[in-house]
Amino acid sequence: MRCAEHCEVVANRPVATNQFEIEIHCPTVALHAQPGQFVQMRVQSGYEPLFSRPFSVFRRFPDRGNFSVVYLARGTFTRMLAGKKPGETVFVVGPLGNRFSVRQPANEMLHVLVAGGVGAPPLYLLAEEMVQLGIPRHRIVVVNGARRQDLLVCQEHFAELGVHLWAVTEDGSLGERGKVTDVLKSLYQRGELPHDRCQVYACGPTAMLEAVAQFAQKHALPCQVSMETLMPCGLGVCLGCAVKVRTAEGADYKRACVDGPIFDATEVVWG
Amino acid sequence: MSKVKMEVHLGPLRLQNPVLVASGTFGYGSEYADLVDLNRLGGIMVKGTTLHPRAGNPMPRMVETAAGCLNSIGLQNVGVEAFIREKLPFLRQYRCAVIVNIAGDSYEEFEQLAERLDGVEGVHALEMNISCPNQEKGGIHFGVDPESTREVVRRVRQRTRLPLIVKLSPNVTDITVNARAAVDGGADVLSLVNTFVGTAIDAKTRRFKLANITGGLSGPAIKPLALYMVWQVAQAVKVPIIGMGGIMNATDAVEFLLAGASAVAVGTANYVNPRVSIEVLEGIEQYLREQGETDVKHIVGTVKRCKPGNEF
Ligand SMILES: Cc1cc2nc3c(=O)[nH]c(=O)nc-3n(C[C@H](O)[C@H](O)[C@H](O)COP(=O)(O)OP(=O)(O)OC[C@H]3O[C@@H](n4cnc5c(N)ncnc54)[C@H](O)[C@@H]3O)c2cc1C
Ligand SMILES: Cc1cc2nc3c(=O)[nH]c(=O)nc-3n(C[C@H](O)[C@H](O)[C@H](O)COP(=O)(O)O)c2cc1C
Ligand code: FES
Repeated sequence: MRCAEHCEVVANRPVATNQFEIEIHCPTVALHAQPGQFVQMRVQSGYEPLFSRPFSVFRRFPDRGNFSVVYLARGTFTRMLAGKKPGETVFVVGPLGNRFSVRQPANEMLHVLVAGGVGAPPLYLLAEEMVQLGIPRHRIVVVNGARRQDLLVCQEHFAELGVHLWAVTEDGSLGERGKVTDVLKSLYQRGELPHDRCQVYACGPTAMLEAVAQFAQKHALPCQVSMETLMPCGLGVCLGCAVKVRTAEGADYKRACVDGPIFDATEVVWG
Repeated sequence: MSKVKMEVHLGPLRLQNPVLVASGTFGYGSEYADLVDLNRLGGIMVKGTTLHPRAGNPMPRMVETAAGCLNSIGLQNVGVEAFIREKLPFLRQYRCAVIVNIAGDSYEEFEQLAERLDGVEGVHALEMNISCPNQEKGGIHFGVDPESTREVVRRVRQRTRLPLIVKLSPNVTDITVNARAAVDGGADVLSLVNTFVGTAIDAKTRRFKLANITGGLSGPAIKPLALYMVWQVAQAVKVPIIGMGGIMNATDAVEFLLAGASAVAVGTANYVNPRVSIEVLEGIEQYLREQGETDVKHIVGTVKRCKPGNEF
């Protein structure tokens, strides 16, 4: 089930520097969105910018018929979105794309969720689902990274879930100093990432995804990544979101919006 | 509410209404089927189809520009056999016309595509995309050289009984020359326009934004250019025209009809709002009622010159 409709903004509140959580009334997305899926949003009536923008679903409130996304106000569209007031509407198409798949037997697995900046929201939805599925909280490891403390998102939400949580900042202003891969490395060295019972899920900037994918490959850890590309249509039609992948027949393109955004890290041709 | 007649006949091709969706902007229909009632569309012009599957151009292959976008997709598609086998059965369930957009690198490829699709159940017309590089002629485009246009259309005409739509490239000095050549070759209908060649540069990194350097410009930015070309061609030839280029709403579509198009195709706007084609259809009906018109045919080509205003 997906929809394409004008939806009412319920709340639009700051959550970190230049970052906001917008809550939107849209029963279809509230009921059906899965971890890793996204919506296309549009607020502008004119042609600047022309296209909708993709945002991952962060929280679902099925009883209220609402969902929310966390976004970074960084460009034309996201700044317009930041100006949206409760009672105003946004045009929403979704939920779209595939989802993170939680491999079984879930209980024996260690699930490692690696977030970079505004990559955290869909991983929060995933962690929440894992808890609801009955996966023991100590088997859910979240490595949440950002450049600085004030750019780190969803930290308190992960903390409330009671999962095994690591904060990482490049300047050391909160948690470990360094990058998410530094934490992964030290966990690995301590023998806390058993390669035969470990699944990595990553969402964040492409450079981070590539580093996480390399780490996972080196240690033979299965890894799913959420790819960020420009998504003009989000429906699998324009082919503007293509991701280069390896197939049995050689290199090919897949569409990040419908074949993804979640890909097996070994499938992606990086760089 | 009085009903307005929306059926249109484009030469041998009958459409239940004049609103189509443009090739490359609506996939194979299935992508939109849960959001758009395909039975209400006049027709679907499916993604450009080649003889063999194509992987398309390197990334990045699409950029947003002021009121438009540049694409250099490079005709990524499943190829004609997979189209017939995997995509067409789905489309056959619907009432709307299915128009297959075909593209080839040589005369022979166009001929083979036309022959293969002729008589295939569920294909209602062919649209020839003749703005692809013609390898036989060392990079000249079929759609740019009038002689090649006439010849490729003539050859395809001999291989198919399907209504033949020829899609003109706007990247020419005088589009009416190519329009006449296509009609001479045997085109039943002309569709225009395809995208305008352009580029985009990132000043910060001093790089072209597209891996392919150039791409085709579409969207609202091209509407005035497309509208003028439709009007010019409507003056120059007798065959019906499908007008497109930057149609974002019903008013834009009506302008194309007034300029001389008998039907319209919605392109890039489908990306912005998947339901826009239905909104365009309903908006045209509403416009006709407001104007006291009973049949969409009555407004085609009825644009009038403006009266000179008061002098200041
Ligand atoms: C599946 C998916 C889910 C996403 N989820 C979220 C989310 O939950 N929260 C969030 O804040 N953002 C998310 N994004 C990214 C978001 O779509 C972009 O931030 C947005 O397009 C920026 O639009 P803008 O008009 O504000 O910026 P623009 O003016 O278009 O660009 C501003 C800057 O952002 C860069 N940029 C623009 N679009 C993208 C993109 N798609 N990927 C990477 N860089 C981009 C530009 O190159 C430029 O440097 C997601 C992207 C994808 C593909
Ligand atoms: C991403 C994209 C892919 C396209 N692919 C095709 C194609 O395969 N064949 C074709 O004849 N036209 C193709 N077109 C051109 C459109 O059908 C249409 O002629 C053009 O975009 C102008 O209309 P618009 O401004 O409403 O989009 C494509 C356009 C876009 C944006
Ligand atoms: S965004 Fe258009 S195909 Fe993926």
